[in-house]
Amino acid sequence: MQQITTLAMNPKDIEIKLNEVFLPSDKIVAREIEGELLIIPIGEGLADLNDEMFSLNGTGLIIWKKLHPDNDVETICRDLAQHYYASLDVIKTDVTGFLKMLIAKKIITKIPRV
Amino acid sequence: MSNFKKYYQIGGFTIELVSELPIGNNTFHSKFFAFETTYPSSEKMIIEHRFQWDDDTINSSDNDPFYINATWKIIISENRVIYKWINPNPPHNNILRKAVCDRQHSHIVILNDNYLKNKYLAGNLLSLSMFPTDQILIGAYLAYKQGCILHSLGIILNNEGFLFLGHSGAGKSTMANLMKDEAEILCDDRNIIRKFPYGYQLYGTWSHGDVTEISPKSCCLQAIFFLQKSPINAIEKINDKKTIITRLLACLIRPISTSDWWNLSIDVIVNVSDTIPCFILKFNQTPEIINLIKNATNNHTCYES
Repeated sequence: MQQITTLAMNPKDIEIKLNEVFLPSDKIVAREIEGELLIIPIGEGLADLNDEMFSLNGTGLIIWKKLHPDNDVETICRDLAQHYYASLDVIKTDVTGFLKMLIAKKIITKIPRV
Repeated sequence: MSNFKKYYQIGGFTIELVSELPIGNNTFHSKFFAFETTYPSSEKMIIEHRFQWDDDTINSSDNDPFYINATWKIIISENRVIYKWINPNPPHNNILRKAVCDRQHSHIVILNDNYLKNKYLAGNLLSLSMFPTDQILIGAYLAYKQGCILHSLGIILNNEGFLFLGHSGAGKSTMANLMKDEAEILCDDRNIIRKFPYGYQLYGTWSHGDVTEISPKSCCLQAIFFLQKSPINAIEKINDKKTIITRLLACLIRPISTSDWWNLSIDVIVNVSDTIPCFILKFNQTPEIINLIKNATNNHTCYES
């Protein structure tokens, strides 16, 4: 059972350390459809037509696929920097910003490093 | 205590309604009459109403609610789902009703308190479950039967089934009023689709909107139209699968939102997007739209990709 960490809801207030590990929350259902990941928060209510859904594509989907118990944020950033031949610092800024957004929306959760 | 029974046919299955109290002609609203049957199908959902109130039973299994709001508390375990209708003020005691179901919602036992017993005896109930709507239970059940409920107008036109999807105000009831001389209205607000080996079957429900005509009939689903108010009348084929899925999901009636319910329902929605032709129906709420739909369906231009 993964541990769900309670985190601030404003991405600006969220801090991410490079040795931290994040996984998709067990409070979402995700399905890849034609190259786009549809993410649906679950447990939000009864017969509610207005639950917010999210979708990821492009680089966001690549980062999503790297969310794994063996991959800390640093590992994800290094993989992406190699993939895109980009500066590690720029990648770190982009990846942590993206992860903060997912945390704020409760789409991913931090798990203890094994 | 003797049990009284009635059967209702909806969505290709039978609801066997069992009650400790007599089920009179006026116990349930007249909208249910058309759905009553004396020939239950082999596929059944059983809804049992009980009126023997026992505080110990009512208050058990109260840990770790999956979902709680002002009036509902839902508890989910590996094998069952429990719905409690609760007092909106903490500590949420004074439970009025407790419903215990298997995870597939094929057998629901509903314990009602004296207030609800009196409501039952007064009659004219608007849902068989005495929940605010039966969609909560039926929508949960259908996911396990490759089906779902869509916010839609359903019609049978020339022995073929068509769905018009849209939220409140999209024009479903207006369209139903325009079409009712030409087509059989299944329901102007909630309709059921289910996947079978030959295709999708469309069914009406009793959860109607402004148009009170409803029908328990069913028909093979041939096409889906997404209603869009417009200064003109026009039909445009949607070829983008993601657009279809997004629009279908927006009109999917969501009962209890568990991951298994969502995964099963998304399977249905994705399959519908692959197999049922979908169209934008631009619609200026004038009767001219009827000929456009009739021409499209008569020529089968709807179903030819």
